[in-house]
Parts: sequence; structure tokens; C-alpha cells
Amino acid sequence: MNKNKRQIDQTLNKIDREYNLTMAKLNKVHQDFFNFIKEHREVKDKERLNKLRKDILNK
Amino acid sequence: MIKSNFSKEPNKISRFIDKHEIENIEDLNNYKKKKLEKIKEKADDILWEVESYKEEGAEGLSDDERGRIDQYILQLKKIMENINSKLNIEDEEKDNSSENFNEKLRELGENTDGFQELSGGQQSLVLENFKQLFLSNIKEGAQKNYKQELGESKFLGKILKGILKNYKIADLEKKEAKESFKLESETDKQIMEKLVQGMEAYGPEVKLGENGEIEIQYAGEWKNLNEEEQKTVDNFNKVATKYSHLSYEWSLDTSTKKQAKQFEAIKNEYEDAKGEIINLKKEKSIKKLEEKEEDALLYINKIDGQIQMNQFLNNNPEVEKELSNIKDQKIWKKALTGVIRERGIYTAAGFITRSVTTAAIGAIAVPLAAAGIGGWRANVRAREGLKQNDINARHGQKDNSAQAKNVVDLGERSVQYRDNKNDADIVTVRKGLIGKIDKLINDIENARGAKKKELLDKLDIRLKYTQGKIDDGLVNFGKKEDKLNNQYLLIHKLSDVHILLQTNNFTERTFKNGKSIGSELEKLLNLKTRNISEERKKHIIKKTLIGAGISAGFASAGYLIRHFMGGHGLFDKSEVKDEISEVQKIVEETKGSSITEEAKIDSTEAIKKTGIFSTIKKNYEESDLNNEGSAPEVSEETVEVDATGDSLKAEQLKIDPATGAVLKYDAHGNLLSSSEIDSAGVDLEEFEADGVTPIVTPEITAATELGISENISNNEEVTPDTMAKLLALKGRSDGNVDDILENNDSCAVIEKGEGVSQALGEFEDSNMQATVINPDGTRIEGDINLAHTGDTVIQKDGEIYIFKTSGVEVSKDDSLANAWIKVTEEKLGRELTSEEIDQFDGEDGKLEWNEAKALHDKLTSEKPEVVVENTPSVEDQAALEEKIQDLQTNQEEHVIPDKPSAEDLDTSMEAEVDTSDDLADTEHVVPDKPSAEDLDTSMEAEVDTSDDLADTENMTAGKPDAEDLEESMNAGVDQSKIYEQFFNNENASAMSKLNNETSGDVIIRLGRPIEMKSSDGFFVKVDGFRFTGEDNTGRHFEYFKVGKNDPSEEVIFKLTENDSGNGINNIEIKGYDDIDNTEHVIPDKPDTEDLEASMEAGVENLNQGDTNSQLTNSDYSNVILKAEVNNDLEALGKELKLDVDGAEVEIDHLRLVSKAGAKENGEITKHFIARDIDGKEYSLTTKEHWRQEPAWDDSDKSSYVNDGVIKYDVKEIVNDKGN
Repeated sequence: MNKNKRQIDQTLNKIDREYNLTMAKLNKVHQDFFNFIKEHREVKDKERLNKLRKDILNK
Repeated sequence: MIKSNFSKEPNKISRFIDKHEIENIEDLNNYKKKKLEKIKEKADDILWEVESYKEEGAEGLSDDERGRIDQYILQLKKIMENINSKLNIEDEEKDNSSENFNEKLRELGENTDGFQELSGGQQSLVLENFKQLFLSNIKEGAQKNYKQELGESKFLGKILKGILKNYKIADLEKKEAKESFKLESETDKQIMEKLVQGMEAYGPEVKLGENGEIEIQYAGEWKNLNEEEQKTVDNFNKVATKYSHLSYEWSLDTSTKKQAKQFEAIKNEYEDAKGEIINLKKEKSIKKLEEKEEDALLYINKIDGQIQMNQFLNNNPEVEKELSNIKDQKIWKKALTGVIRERGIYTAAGFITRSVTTAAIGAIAVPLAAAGIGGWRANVRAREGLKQNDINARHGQKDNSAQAKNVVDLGERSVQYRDNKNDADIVTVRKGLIGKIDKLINDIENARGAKKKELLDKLDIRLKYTQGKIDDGLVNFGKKEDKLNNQYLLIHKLSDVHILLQTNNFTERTFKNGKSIGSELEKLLNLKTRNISEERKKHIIKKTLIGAGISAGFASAGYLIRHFMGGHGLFDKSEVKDEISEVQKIVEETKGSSITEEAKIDSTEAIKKTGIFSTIKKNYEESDLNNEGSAPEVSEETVEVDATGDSLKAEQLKIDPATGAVLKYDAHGNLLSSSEIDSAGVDLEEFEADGVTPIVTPEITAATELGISENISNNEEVTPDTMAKLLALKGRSDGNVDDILENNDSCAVIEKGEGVSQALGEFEDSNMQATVINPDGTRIEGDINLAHTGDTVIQKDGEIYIFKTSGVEVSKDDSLANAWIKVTEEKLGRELTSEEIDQFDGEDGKLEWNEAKALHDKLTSEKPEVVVENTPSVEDQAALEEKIQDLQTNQEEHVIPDKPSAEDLDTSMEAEVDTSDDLADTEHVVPDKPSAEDLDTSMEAEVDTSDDLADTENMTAGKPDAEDLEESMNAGVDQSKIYEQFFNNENASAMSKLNNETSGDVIIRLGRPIEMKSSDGFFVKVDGFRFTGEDNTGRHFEYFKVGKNDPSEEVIFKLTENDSGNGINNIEIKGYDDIDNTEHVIPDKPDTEDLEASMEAGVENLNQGDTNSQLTNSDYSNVILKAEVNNDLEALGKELKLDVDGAEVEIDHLRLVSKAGAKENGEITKHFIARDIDGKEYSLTTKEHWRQEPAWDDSDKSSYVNDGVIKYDVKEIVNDKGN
């Protein structure tokens, strides 16, 4: 009985670890993706603002 | 000491299976499967986000950037492949391909009894209708799932989900669709059966055109037609189908010229075709000679009614539009859009389901129709016999004798006048009877107030006049071939007029119980419990009444036809028969009339509505309508008229909410007809034992158990006892009881941010006494402050009952503190510590409202603890990191540090359970190792960066985006501000979304109470507010809240149009004074920026150096906010308190009188006049300190930051009155 329980616990631990690991991977990809969006947006924003500023100065 | 006993939502991981309960391999497998599914779900979500961004979210992605996104997609797909292989998931896409779906659909149809016997056209129609229902069911299901998910989320999750709602719903639809696409459920089978049965019973014959288009055979079946006659019928079918596709709105003044023209052209075509078919019908009628005309008129009345209702319903969202709203179109495109493109048949396809809706509207129309008929009867006079001349005149031979000069023309006529003054003949067109009526109706629609009343009186007189003319036989109906159609037109017009007169009465008239038809409809259409604005409610009610009016028009026209014709030919009878016996005859004749057949067809939406039948009937009987006015005392209350003018006894017919079947009862309520009982009286246990999900509404399931009426949801007889019984069943796994609690008309569930007042839709004093019933059944007498979100309230006989369906148990003494603890916990997203709870207890065991609120404000203004769901524990993270490092250093070695000792496991267990290290195989695609720190941030990203996602690109140019805003504000501010900014951040993004989103909800959290400027220049506290407006493309949005004005309030803008818009204009913000409910309107129409500014408390937006200028709302907010921050003025939420010579004075109104200084100079002095609740006025001077901040971008511009009110001085103003 106890042995059985221990086996179950071990398997559970393994499942949990794998779950956490995969989740971590997903989160990493997610994070990278968001960093990418952020970066992309910042560049675009700056471009737009610079253009706007130029437009205003030219007027 | 009060203990917080609020039930906590279990976090997502523990919601799987409790680890301790796992005892065998099966459990273990389930556990593993659930975990894998969870991962899959998450991976799905992320993939969807990434793909969406690639497809639509990003402007001007370079190839390089696209490559990077592809890289993410690749990584995600690898992970998903892995999971899928573990879950043994077949390629679902294959299952969902269009061929597959259509094949399955046809298969489903062919396996249904009766399908094969239908004609090809009818079969197509059934399948199309199935698709329509299928789609709407999916949408409905997705909404429900979303709500569930929202309910399970914690505080922060809720905010994010709110923002991402549009995305989420689309996503859930996708999931829902995947499940449903198999078409294997019992529901699918039953719906198909109902559709086939409906088609068999009601079935319009349907023809398939050359291109597969469906043409409804409105004209029905004909026998023994010659070629010419067949042509007439074909033509009518074609034109009627075309006409039925037009929108009702096009017939109104509001249509464009082009629409009106098009409508007119097709309408004329239709009128011509109708004229032909009505004569043909008369000719071919198998009835006795004298009944032929009546037969023909009733025939056309029914068809006309169907067509016009169809037109009216065309304004409802079309299927194609719905489809385009689903974000992930892959599945739909494959399965459905193709079909649509193949044949553009949607309006026609709606025919059958619509006939049910038509029946439902017909039911609403009943009291209108009955009232119309009553009006008619009141005007009927027994007439003398007609003279031969008159009869001739009515048959197109104009009699010019003086005796006959009173004959009036139905249509237009050229009339020649002699103008003696100018000695000339003038030819003019004189409007006929119909034209005159039309003109009046038109004028009435455009008139208001007294003018309208006058016109209505005129119309009433005109109606009596026309009726008199008809009764006297003094109407010229034109030539023989036009006669019948003209008679129909006039009867119908008269019927419309009756309805119009009655409807106008109706809107103001109330039932005996003091309720107006508007409020009744509101209840019936379940508007009360839904979070929609008053404007919208009004709109819905108005539209429903219009539909009911149309329906009632046809109903009473049907009645009039019978009444007039009476088997004697039109208007030839010399006296009106005994009206009572005539009505009874109609009832007998039409037993089991067509509505019963039509209504058999299942349609979720329509069925819900049909439940109102009995309620309206009841109210009608109770009302003063049926015996008021000059209507003779006839037994009209026993007559129900359906949408086509057929009569039936309402008390004998009941529409089963579960199946849509019409059940017949005798006068004692015993069920008579048995054909439909099977589906209604299902043996639940038997079904469940078979593992089949029965298609039974929640009401029925619970009703079976409680032994109460099955249509409880439409039943006003919900007593506190019934509720108590229901509560005893609450929480059952099927959720049925909860559905009842939420959907019952006579009770309301308190939604987040609402109080009892909002839930009941009535103003209630916060000290109003209420009976509170705890989950354990104990009752206490308390006040309405004991209500929590999720509680159910009912108001009966003026008393308020609060059922603690939220699960929060209350006792009389601890109520206030507990309420505040709950609110505070919700806001913080965490449990309060015992010390904090102690504070709420107060020293003497009881806090006053203001004290508790102050404590709440204090606690919530501290930096919120971000609770991240699914965060691995510290141990887990450490283990994880270890594992990752391990894998990185030695990829071949797939050994997990603490060995799972698989060899110890039973081999069979191993086979099923063993998780190979496949999951780890994808490691190489992750560019760099996610450290524990990374993990942290990535987890946080789940929460924080979603904001960025919602934050669309097109922020107003030159305006800082949410993030920048935050940066600029973060500089040198204390922590208490951060929480505020969190919302500001969200607001900025929401505003941006409001500018760019095309539909759905945009949520803005106010972050502070709204104050408004009253007409006398004071700023006042408002207790409720309403936003309405539109953008420059006509997209509407609105929000309305009464009796609540707290910082956690969410303003949800409901975007109702699907056009893309840029920029908001025309926003109107109305506030309601909490003292006397006076309306205040923000004086100038704010544009987006104003609105944004007014919401961004704490964002600096005073005009620089602008002294004595007109102040905006934000000036005031600035004062209040700074007061809060500096604690110089004591501001408690919406209450501003001043220290006047040591005494605390509560300020209700505040007016800025002057402003001096400038930001640049570092100081601004403001002089206010404040007014307290007693009307005493005070002079208040504040001094603000300003400092310069570097620019938020790389420009040279710097900004100014207010350090707060550093000093204030207050004096009471003593005026002449001695205040």
C-alpha cells in the first residue's frame, strides 16, 4: 500500500515537473513575443512622433 | 472578532484533481490529461495571439520581424505537437473541413424521420436553418462560458479578461465550435427533428432556383391551374420572396432616397402581383360563393403578415455579419462561409425560424390587437340597408346624382374645380381615403406633444368617418379587378389606425397594478437583470412594440375581415350580427389554427419570448384596457388573436419552453394533447442513466424536483419560500438552479459593482430594511447593505428579500465590516491578514460606514499585491531551474533529478502513465534559458503585458501611450499613486480601444468618483452617471449607472455598430445629483481627449498659466486627488471634508472662483467657494506647488508635476441671510 502510494507520488511529481517546465517554456515564448511587440511598437511610435514633429516644424 | 468567511475561489491548478485523492492509475491518468490539456489551452491562446498579431495587429512588419514571429509560431507549434501526441489528438482540422461538416449535416438530416419525404428545396431549407441555429447556439454557449470563466477569475484576472473580452469570446467560440462540429449531440438530433417536423407541418413549399437560390412558395399549393394562372402564381412567389427580403426600415422616413425608391419599386411590383393573386384565390376558392371573398382576403392577410414581419426582422443582425465577427475564421471559413458564397440565401433560410419569432411577436401583440378590435367595435353602428345606387357606386360606376355625392374614393382622384375669382378651371389631385389616413399617420410620426395629441384626435375622427362610410356602403373601391385588393388595403389601413391609436395610448397607459407596458416588456424581455443602459432598453422596447404593432395590425385586420365579410359579401349586410356569437364562432372555427403548427418549430430565442404569452394575457385581463372606453361589453377577453388574425383560446394553449411545442390544456389546467408530452415530460433519471444529455431546460429539471410549475422563469409566483427551496438546491453540478436564480424575471442577481438598487432597477435607500436569508436557511432582519455580489434579491409586496446566493453568510452585527472586508479583499485580490481584519472590527466592535470606507481606501491605496495565477511555488521554481540547467548541459541525458523510479511502477501503469521526456525535447528551440527571474517576469507578463496587447497601435498621435504615460508619472511619485496609475494605464488603453475597436465592450475603470459641474457653476457629487455618444461614423456606445459612484466602477462602453471608427465625438455625460437626483450635464461636449483627461485622475492637465479661465472637470479632480495624496484636505472617496476651525464640514458642492500663478512659476493659488450639505458656504484657498519634470520622450519639452496642495485656508462665508 505504502509502496504504491509512493509510486503514485513520484509519478505525480514527475507530471508536475513536466507541467511546470512546459509552462515555463510557454511563458518564455510568450515573454519573448511581448518583448518583441513592445520593441516593435516603441520603434513605430518614435518614428511616428519624429514624423509628426517634423511635420509641425515644417509648417 | 469577526472572521472572514468568504469562500475563496480555488486557484486553477488545484481545480484539476486534488492530489491527495489520487488513488489509482485512472486518477493519475486523468490528472496528467488535465495538466496536458491545460498546457494545450495555454499554448493555443499564445499561438492565437501571435498569429493574430502577425495577421492583423501589426503595421509595417519587416521581413526580419515576420521571421521572428514565425520563429515564435514554430516554437509554439513544436510544443503543441508534443502535447498533442501525448493526448493522442487527431487532427481536428480534418474533422472540421467544410465537406466534412456538410456531409455530417446531410447525414444527420437523412437519419431523421421525415426528412426524405421533403422536397429537395425543403430539405435545403431545413439544412440551412439548422446551420443558423447551430451558429447562434455556439455564440450563446461561448458567451456563457466566458461568463463562467470570468466568475472564476480573481480580481486582476477579471480586469484583464474584461479588456480582452472581445478576443476571449472569439476564442471560446472557436473552442465551442470544435466540440460542436461533430454534430453528434442529442441536442443536434432534436433540433433537426424539430426542423423536419416543422417543415412537414408548416412547410412552405420551397423551390430551388437555377443558382441554388431558395424561393419560398408563399402562394402555397394550387390545383388545376392553366398556364396563365400558373404564371400568376409563379410571379407572385418570385416577387413576394424579393419583397420579403427588403428591410422594414427602408419603408420609413429614415431611409435614404435610394432605399426608399428601391423599396417603392419592389413594393409596387408586389402590390400588382398581390392584386392578381387575390382575385385568382377568390376564383379558385373552394368555399361557398358568399365566402370566397372572405377566404381570399384572409389568405392574403396571412401571407402579407408573414412577409412584413420578415421585413421587420431583416433588421436583426444577419448571419453573415455574425460570422465576420468571429476572429478565428479558419474553421468558419471552411465550413460555412463557403456555403454562403455558394448560395446567397440567408434571409430566405431564416424563414422558418422566423415564423416562430413572428408567432412570439404576435403574442406580444395580443393586447394591442384586442384593444384595436375593442376600439373598432366601439365605433360600429348598426346601419340601414343600402340603396341600389350606393351599391352601384361602390362597383365603379360613379353616380353623379346629388343623392350619391357622399360616395368617397379609396384611391387618388383628379378633381376639377371652378375658380370663379380667376375665371379658370383648376385640376387638382384629391387624396382618397387611404391617402388621407396615410398623411395623418405620417404627420403623427413627426409630431410631438400637444400637436401630436391633436393629430391623434384628428385621426380618430377620420377613422370614425371612414368606418361610417364603409358601413354605409359609400366607398368607391374602383374597378372589379381592383376591388378585392382595394378592400383589403382599406381594411388593413383601418386596422393599422386602430393599432396606432391604441399603441399611442399604450405607451402612456399603465396597467391596474401600476406598471406600464414598457416596464412589463422590460421584464418579459429579461432586460432588468442585464447590464444595459436605459437608452438601450428603451430602444429594445420601442422596437418590440413596433413589431408587435405590425403584428397586431394583421391580427386585427384578420378579425375585421371576418367581421365584415361574415359570409355575406363585403358590406352588403344590412345589420351587424350579434357580436358575441360572432366572436365565439371565429374561435370555434379556428381551433388548432396555424399558429400551433408554426410554433412547433424549435427556436431557442423565440421560445423564450413566447413564454410571455400568458403573462401579457394575464396583465391584459387585469388591466383596464379590456373594459375601458366606449367598447361594448363583449366577451373579448376570451378571444386571443394570433399573428395572422386567427383566434385561439390562450388559456388552453401553452408553449413549452423546452421544445417550443404547443401544449393544450383544458380550463382546469389538465394537459390535453399528448403528441408533444414526451419531450416535455421527460423522465430525467432514465435519460441520465443512458448517459444521454436530455434537452431539457433548467427550469424543468429543477421544477421536477421542486414540484413547481415548469415555466417558473416566466412566473411571477416566485415566493420567498420557493426561493428558499431553490437555494437548498443551489450549487448542484448541473447549475440549473443557479440558472433559475439568475434568469428569473421576478428576482435579480447582484452583479459586480451593483447594489440592491441597481439590481432591482429602483432607487432604494441604503438603510432600507431587508430580510436576509443565509445559505443555511437562517433569516435575519437587516438592511440592504448586507447584499454582496452574487446575491439574489427579490422585492415582494414592497419588502426586500436578500438570498445569500453569493455564499457569504452574514449576521446582523458583523454585516458592515464583513461587507467592507469582502470589497477590500476583492479589490486587493488577496485575503486580508488577521491584523487587517481586526482593524475592520473597530475598537468597540463596530465601525461606522465612513470609518470602514476610510479603512478600505487606506488599504487599497497601498500597492496592490499582484497575484499571479499558476505561479509555481519557490520550490518548484528552484527545481525547474535545476532541471533546465541540467537539460542544457546534457541534452542527451533525459534523467530527471529525483528519479521517478518508473521501474518500480507496475508495468501496465507504466504503459499508460509514463510520460516520456518528450516535453523536454523542444528545449533547443528556446533561445536562452529561462532563469527563475525570467520566469517571474514571464509570469508577470501574463498579467501586465496583456495591457499592451489591448493597447492598439493607433493612439492619438503625439499623445503618450499608456506605457509612456506610466513612465512619466512614475518619476518621483510615491507608491500610493501606482495603483491609481494602473487604472489610468488601463484607461488609456481602453480609450484607444474605444477609438479603434469595432464592436463589443470597452471597459474603462474610473479610478475615482466622477464629479460634475452643475448649472450654477458648482461642482457637485453625483450619485449616478450616464455616458452616451457616438463616434464620427455613427457607432453608438453608452453606459449608465445609478446610485453608485465609486472608484472601482467600470464603465463599459457597449459598441453597437460594426463600422470601424476613428475618434469619438458627441459624448454626453450626465450625472445625477445624489441629493435630489437633479441631472447635470458636463457643459461642453468633450472629445476623446477630454474624456480621457477627465478620467485620468492624477494626470496633469491644467492649462499652463491660465488664470481665471473656464475650468474643466479635471481641475476639480486635481484638487480632490491632491487632497487625498497629501492628506491636507480630508477626502474620503467622493466626500470632501474640510477642517473649519477644528470642526469637520462635509462639502457637497465646490466652485472654483479664481486661479492665479502658473506652473512655470512653481505655484498656483486657487480660490474656491465650497458649499456644505446644509447650504452654508465657505471660502477655500489652496496653494499648489509645481515642479518641472524631464520630457517623457527624447524631445526637449518638459512637463510639470503637481506636488499637491501644500496649504489650504478655509473660512465660512457669512452672508446677509445670516448663514
